Amino acid sequence: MNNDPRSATRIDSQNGTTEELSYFGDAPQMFGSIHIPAGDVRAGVVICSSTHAELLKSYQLEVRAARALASRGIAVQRFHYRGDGNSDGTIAELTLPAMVEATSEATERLIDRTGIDTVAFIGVRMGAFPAVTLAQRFPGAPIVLWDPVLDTDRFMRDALRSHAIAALKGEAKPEKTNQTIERLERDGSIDLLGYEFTSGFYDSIRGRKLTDQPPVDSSVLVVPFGSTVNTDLLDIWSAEGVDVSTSEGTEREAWWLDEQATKDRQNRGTVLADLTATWISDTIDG
Amino acid sequence: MTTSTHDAASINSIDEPVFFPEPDNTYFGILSVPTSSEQETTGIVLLSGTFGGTTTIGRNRMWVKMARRLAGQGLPVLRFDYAGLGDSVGEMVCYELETPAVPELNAAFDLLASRGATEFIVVGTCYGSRTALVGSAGDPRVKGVFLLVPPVRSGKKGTGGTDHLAEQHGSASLAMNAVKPRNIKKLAMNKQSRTSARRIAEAKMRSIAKRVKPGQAQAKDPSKDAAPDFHRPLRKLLSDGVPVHLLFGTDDFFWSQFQDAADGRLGEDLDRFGDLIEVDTVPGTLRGFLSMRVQDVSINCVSEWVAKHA
Repeated sequence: MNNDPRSATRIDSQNGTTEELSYFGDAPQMFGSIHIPAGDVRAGVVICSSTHAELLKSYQLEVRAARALASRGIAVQRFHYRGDGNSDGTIAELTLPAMVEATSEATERLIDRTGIDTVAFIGVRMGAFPAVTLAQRFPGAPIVLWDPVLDTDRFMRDALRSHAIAALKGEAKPEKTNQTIERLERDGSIDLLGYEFTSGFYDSIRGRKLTDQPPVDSSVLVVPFGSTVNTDLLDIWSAEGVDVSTSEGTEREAWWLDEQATKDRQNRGTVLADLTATWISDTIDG
Repeated sequence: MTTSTHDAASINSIDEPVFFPEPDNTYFGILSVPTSSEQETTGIVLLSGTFGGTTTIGRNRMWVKMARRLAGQGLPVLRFDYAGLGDSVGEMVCYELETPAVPELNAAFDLLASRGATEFIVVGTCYGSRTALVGSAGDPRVKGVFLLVPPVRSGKKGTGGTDHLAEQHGSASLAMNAVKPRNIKKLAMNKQSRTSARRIAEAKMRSIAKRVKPGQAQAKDPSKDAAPDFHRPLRKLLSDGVPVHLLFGTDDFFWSQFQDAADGRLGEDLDRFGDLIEVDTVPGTLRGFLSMRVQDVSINCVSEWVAKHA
C-alpha cells in the first residue's frame, strides 16, 4: 500500500492497467502520471506536453494515448513541467532548458519504476524539443511528434497574432507584434490571451528550429494537425539520415483559442491515440 | 512529506492527488491541504467549466492558484475532473447545463467529509456553476455558494454567445458578415463554424418571430426568465438560509441575461432574500477569464468571500 500523501493509484477494472498519479522529483515537485500495463512491460513512452494553452488543449489526447499504449503492454510517463499545469513552482521556472531537464527526470523515473530498457518519446507542439533532445540520449528511441513546433519564432508570431486578433474584439487598439515583444522584454512578462508568458521562456526558445536537431538514430513519425504537412522537416531530416515518415493528419487545432470538450474531440483523440500506439508498438517490435 | 513551493501566497498548503469515490475511483481530483495542524471543518469544492481537456487547471492555472490560495487560508480545497475529462474515467458526455455533474459533486462532498469536513462551500463557473446550484440545493452541509458568471437561462451550453450575437446585431449586419470571403471559407472548411452560423441564424429567426407575433409586443418575454434549473435551486438555497454570491463582468452577456431575468420572477426572490444574496459586477468581461486581471479579481473576490463565510 502506498502511504505517500502525494500519490494516488487506480487499477482499471477492465484491463488491469495501473494509473499512479503523484508529485515527484526535487522541490518544486512535478505532477505526473505513470500508466503501467497489467502484464509484462515491453517498453516505456515519455509524453512531452506543450505549455500554456497548448497543455490544456492536448491534455485529453495525451491521456487517451497513454491509456491506449498501456493496454498494449507499454508503460507511459506523463508529467507537467515545473510552474505549469498541476505541478508546483511558478511560471518563472518554465524555460526550454528546464523542460529538457524535467523530461530527463521523468524518463529516469519511468525506467526506475518499470525497469524498461526500451524507451520512446511523444512530443506535442513545443514538447517536440525536449522529446527530440532526450531521444538523442537513448539511441534508437522511436519518436512521435504531434503537430510539432518547427520554428519557435513562428510559434511566437502565431501566438502573438492570436492575441492581437482577440484584442481586436476589445476597445483598446491592439499592439503591433514588435511592440508586444518590447513590452515582454521590458516588463519581464506579458498577458498572452490570459496566460502569463515570461521573458525567461521567450529568451529560452527564440531562434530555435527543430530541423537543427536531427535525431539520426531514431525512427520518427510526424502527425500533422491539419492538411498541410511541413515538408521542410521531412526533407531536411531525411537528408540527414533520419528515418522519418508522416501519417495522415488529424483536424487542424487552433492551439491558443478556447474550445469546449465535445464528443467530436473525444473521437478525434481516440483515433490519434490508436494511430500513435500502433506505430510505437510496431516500431518497438521492429 | 515534501512541502511544495508554489506561489508565494500559497506556501502554506500542499497538493495531494486523489481518486474517488471508493471502490470505483472514477474521478480524479487534487486536494489542496493546509499545512497548518488545525483541523478545519469547512471544505471547499471548485467546479470549473468544461473548456480544455482537464477541469483541474484552467486558463493560466487559475483553479490551481485559487485552490492553493484558499488552502493557504486554512481550508481543504478539492478540484477535480468531471467524468470523461482529464484523468477521470468514463465516457465524455455533452456537459449540458440541464445535466449538471451532480454525481461528481456528491462524491466530492463525501471525499471531503471522509477527511473531516462537516460543512462545504462550493465555487463554480459556467457548467460548474449550474452544478454548484443543483448539487448544493437541499444539502444541509452546504453553507455557501459562489457563482462566477453563471449562465442564467437554459439552452445548449456554449450557445449563449450565438444567442447574444443574434440579439445584438441586425439581420442585415449578420448577412453581410456571412458573405465575407474569409467567413465563407471558414464555413466551408470548419464544422464548428457551420454549427455556430446555424445557431446564430436559428436564434435570429426566433427573435424575429417573437417580434412579429401579434399581441406579444407588450407581454413580458418568458424566454428572458431564468431557467428553472437556475431559479429553483437558487431559491431553495436562499430559503434554507444559504448565502449565495454572484459575480459578473459588466460586459458579460450572462450579466444581461441576469438583469433581464431579474425584471421577472427572479427579481421577486432577489428582493425577498436580499440579505442572503449578493450580486457584484466588475468592469469588462469575466467569462472565460481571458485576462490575468480578471483571473486575479476572481481569485481575490472568492478568497475574501470565503474568508467571511467559512
